[in-house]
Amino acid sequence: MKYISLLVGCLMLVAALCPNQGVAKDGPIIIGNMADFTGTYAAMSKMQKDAVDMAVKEINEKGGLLGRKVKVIHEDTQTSPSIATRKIERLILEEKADILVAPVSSASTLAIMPIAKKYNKLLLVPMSQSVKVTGENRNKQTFRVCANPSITSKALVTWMTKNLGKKYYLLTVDYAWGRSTSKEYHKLLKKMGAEIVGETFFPLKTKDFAPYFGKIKAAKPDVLFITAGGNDAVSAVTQAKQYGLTKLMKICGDGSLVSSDVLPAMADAANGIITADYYCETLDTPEHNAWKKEYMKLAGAKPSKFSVSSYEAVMWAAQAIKKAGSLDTDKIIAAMEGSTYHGPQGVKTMDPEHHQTSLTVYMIRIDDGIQKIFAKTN
Amino acid sequence: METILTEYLVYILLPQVLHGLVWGMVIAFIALGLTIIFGLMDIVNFAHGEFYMLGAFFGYSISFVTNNFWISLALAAVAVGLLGVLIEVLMLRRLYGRDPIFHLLLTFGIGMIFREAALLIWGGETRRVDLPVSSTIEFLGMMYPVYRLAILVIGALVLIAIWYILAKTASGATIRAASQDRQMSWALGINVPRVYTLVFATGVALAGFAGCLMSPIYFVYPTMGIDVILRAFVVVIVGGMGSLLGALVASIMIGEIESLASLWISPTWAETLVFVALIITLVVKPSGLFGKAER
Repeated sequence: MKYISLLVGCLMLVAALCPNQGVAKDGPIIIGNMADFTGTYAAMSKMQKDAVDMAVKEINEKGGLLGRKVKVIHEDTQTSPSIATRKIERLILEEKADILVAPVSSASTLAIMPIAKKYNKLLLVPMSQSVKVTGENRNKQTFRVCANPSITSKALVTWMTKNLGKKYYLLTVDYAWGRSTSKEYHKLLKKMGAEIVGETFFPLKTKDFAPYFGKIKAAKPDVLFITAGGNDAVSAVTQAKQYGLTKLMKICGDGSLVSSDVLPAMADAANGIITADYYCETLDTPEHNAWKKEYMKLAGAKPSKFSVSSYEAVMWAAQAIKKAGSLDTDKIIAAMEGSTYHGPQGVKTMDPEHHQTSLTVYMIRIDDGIQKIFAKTN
Repeated sequence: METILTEYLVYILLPQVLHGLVWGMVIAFIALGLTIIFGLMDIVNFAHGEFYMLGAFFGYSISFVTNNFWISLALAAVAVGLLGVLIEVLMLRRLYGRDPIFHLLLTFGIGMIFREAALLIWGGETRRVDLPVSSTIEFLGMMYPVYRLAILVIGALVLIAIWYILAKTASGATIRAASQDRQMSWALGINVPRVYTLVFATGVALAGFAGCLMSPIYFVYPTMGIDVILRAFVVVIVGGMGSLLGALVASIMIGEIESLASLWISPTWAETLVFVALIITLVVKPSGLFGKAER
């Protein structure tokens, strides 16, 4: 009797030590969604969550993936690379996530990319725009669904230098995304014969931009080019109007400056701002209208580029998993590379070498607080 | 040459000095409460930034009912003060006379609880408060929002009021007496616990007031306290722990350093200058500009 209870005890110990791998195979497929829910980028990260939830709901309603349900686990990366690296390991090791979605901050995305590589897990990047993600820091596991400034800058710089003037002042957020955007625009503006009369790098989470305006006014640029997103963008744009900068110069910026996550907060201060981006909320095609209606029903707000690319990232990966017929990361990667995906905006292609999606670029102007497309390039 | 110089002075330097003043005033509000509480009660209030945050959220919520920013501002400060009374009576009071580490842990924990509570109640999204005065004035060809000038004026008035109460009134004398010698004040019939409660409540109400006052410029979100509290601590140390004048002077100084330096060097570096000022103070005069020497 004594031996039997000892044996049972040993068996229980063994059972407790081994994770239930048999059960895990029948359980849901886990998507680990990392988002900067608190901090400067809170509003767009909420859109990321809504869009990922929407995609997962749609997949499950159509019978799931490989006969299994899909479940999403959201983690708050708090706009901090160090927290992001902790959260991705938690998602991989404790939650046994099969696919990962990266947060908006490029600094965080660049920090977690090597970890995705270490554990060989698919990492989808729907929002981070630093050129490095698909440039010098790229790896096999990382796929980007959104644009990077080397895609959007060409259309915007060509248009700006032709229509607005030759003197530019750059006001740029001081971290990976801003630095890489600035580099891109420096290169192109110089090529088009424009002059950069000054540049200020401001820290992420800057509340008060007024201290930089004196210097900007004194430099007398034709265009103030702002690279900022989230709350930084709201502060920069509203304060530029308060201090009368909009009367002296034109304001342009990378798409995130006036994307739909920040437009409502800017109210009339955003009017007249010109930007180039890969998505416009007022795009009028039947496919997009149907998607937008569904999104607004679920999220209760207008979609932004962050919504569309977060949604597409998950749907694209689901398509690849179906094609691969397996959750094996190498097989999914092979199915992603060079593939096309037909989403709300039409057909997009994944570059097999850089893992960067090809995108249409729209020239957008803000009229009465609404994005209006006035030109389009491929 | 002369016109370039005047242009530089008027368009660049003058606005920058004004920014520095406004920014310094905000830090002063937060630091004053911190330094008053420390000076009287020997408590380093690590939850101070969260009272600042709560002031902003209270003002934000109350303004939906009152539809008036100024009334909400007053009510928010009072609400934060009442919360301060609760915290002092229910928790802090039990720890007087013990090792300061207990106060540290308690206030640190309270701060964390407040932050998470705000996240649960109001959510992580940043709230925006409309400027109560949206007009701008123009002088010497330079535009400046009226609301920021209003902050300066309100700030100056509140500071004068605090100085007056502390230096010229009977209740001010009571507070000073209680801070100098607790036991003697007890013996002379001063209700020391009540003085403590009042001082703590006033200190945190000041922070709440600042949070609400700044909400139209700096937004409202759960971690907003963390973003300012570090500077407030720097100011308290540079000015001298417990010194009101020191806190005020150091606030303005730090505000100007940050604002003016961002003209010539990258703003990211300008932020670090604040800590350079802190280190220099600690090396040259460890008790702070106006601090009393080690007891």
